[in-house]
Amino acid sequence: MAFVELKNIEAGYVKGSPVLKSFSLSVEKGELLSLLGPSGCGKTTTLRTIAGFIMAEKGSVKIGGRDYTRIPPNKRNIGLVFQSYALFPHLSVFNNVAYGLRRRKVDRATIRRKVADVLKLVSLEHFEERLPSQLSGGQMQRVALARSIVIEPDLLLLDEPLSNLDAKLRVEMRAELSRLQRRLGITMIYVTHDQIEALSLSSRIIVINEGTIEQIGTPEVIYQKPATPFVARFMGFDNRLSGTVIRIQDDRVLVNVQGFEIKAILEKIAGLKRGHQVELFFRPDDAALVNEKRENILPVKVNYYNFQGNSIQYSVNCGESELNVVMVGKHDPQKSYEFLCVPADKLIVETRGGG
Amino acid sequence: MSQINIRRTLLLLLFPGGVFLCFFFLAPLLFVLVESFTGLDGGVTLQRYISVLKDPQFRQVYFRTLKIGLIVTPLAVLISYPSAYVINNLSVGRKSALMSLVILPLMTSPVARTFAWIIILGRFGLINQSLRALRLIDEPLRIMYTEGAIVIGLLQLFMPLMVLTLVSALENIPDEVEEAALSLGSGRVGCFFRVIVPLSFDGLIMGVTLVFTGCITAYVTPAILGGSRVLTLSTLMRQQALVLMNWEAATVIAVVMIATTLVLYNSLRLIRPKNL
Repeated sequence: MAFVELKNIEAGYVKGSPVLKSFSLSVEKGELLSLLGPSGCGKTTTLRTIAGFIMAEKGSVKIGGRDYTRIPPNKRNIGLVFQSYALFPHLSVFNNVAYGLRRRKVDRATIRRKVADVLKLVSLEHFEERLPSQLSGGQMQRVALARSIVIEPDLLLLDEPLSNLDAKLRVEMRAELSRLQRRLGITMIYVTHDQIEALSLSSRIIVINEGTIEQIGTPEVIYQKPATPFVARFMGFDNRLSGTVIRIQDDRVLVNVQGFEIKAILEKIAGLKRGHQVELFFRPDDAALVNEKRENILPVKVNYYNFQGNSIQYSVNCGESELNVVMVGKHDPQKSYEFLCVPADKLIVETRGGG
Repeated sequence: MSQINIRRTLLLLLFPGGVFLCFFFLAPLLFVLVESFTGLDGGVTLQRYISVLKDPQFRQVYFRTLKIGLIVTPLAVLISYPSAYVINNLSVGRKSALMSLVILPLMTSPVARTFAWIIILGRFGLINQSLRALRLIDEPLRIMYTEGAIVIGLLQLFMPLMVLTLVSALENIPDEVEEAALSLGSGRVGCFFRVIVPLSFDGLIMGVTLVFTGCITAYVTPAILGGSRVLTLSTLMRQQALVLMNWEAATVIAVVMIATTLVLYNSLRLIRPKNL
């Protein structure tokens, strides 16, 4: 049995219109699981149900084999890190971190030692006497983290913990979170809408849309083999072309796109037939702009480009469609291109109207 | 616009309000203050103060007024905090409905409100009728014209102020802070005293100041519910000035009352919560 187990949860904020309907998931001990999805998809609701702030109307929440469905949040021993940090503004860093230990009636000397240890762990050992208002965003985030791990929680829940930080700090904190997780081996559930964050941190990702799970998998699988059009679009398959299936041969599908033959190599052809109207999805950086005629090309016209240092982002017109192409490496931005080369092995083919 | 011009504009904007307050508030106050130190011969003297402060009736009324404030204010806090806490946690629609209920008493005439109390507290009022019907008493209790009646009236009068200031203080506490406390093992009650109260402390002090100074300076409620039997500073002052024509005493009482309020206001402002 998994360490955390949600079974057929029905939960939400308004009675009668649940955000989660018959929602199940399991988390293994020591794993960092991300809940990934757009805002309003139900990922925070899931987290709040696990934390106990929302009582599930149906279904059960089990942690370590024990039924927690009706247990109030203060009896759950679950650590929480909020996007807004939610530090106690009237308490010093020391007292913020000691808060949970005091509620557990830990003796003074042990509190001193544990707080000092955990502040050292997050590199804030000289900040004990500061008030939250005297800290930077990154420091507040570390205090919030320290405060929630010092109680040695069974489970640590993080609700978009990095989204209030600036880009550089976010990358640093991501690495630090990853390091802490490996070092402490705490089971973590991480809510985010940022694919990069989920991909770089998680052992597994659950992609959620409108209260239901779209796909569960390792970051590699989610990134390379999105199971549904929703996951594909969420994972950056931003470009879309429409066409008609001409022929199917082994694992290859030939699609007519604006009079040109485009080949796609797929793992499974399931359900595709000749004459089907389909849509092809691919990532901006999987395609390339070329001038010579070769396989899998479409004529395009470059609209404009953005020079981004090590890459150039092009916006091109291909018939009716506007596509994005990112060329990595040293290119001359002034160079003109005639064709778009579509990657046969990095295409996702969906029948039209399939989502 | 230059710095000087901005200052000039600001002064100009303050001018009407400033002039109004100077003429109709500060100047009369100043006259009262000067008057209170003026002797019969026109010289400066403390004679008026000495005779008023030595008067046992004044002392009794002064300490009674303070006592009423000291009873009403904590009661208002005790009653208002839970209400404010619940109101603040309601959905937007219900919250505004309850808030308008809280504000309603502030919008009815204080005279009408206080007369309503007579119907309830009077000799043949609701309380006495009910107690008699239950055969708990033979003779009607005297509730009107007691300190108790004034306490009840002032409590009802000032509770909305306390609730309003507490709700606006509670509104500024993010939900996550409370949730963080819960997740760290605090129960609802512990969370209330360790997090909610310290974080709404400024609002609490504001409410206490408003209610306490309100109690000390209130006139209509003690006049009707206390009558001439149970005097407070305000009703004593009116009696001295308009009934006994003892303006000398009245000015001294006015100054003492204002001084008391100022001292209370400023000492309450100094109170800060210590880290828990």
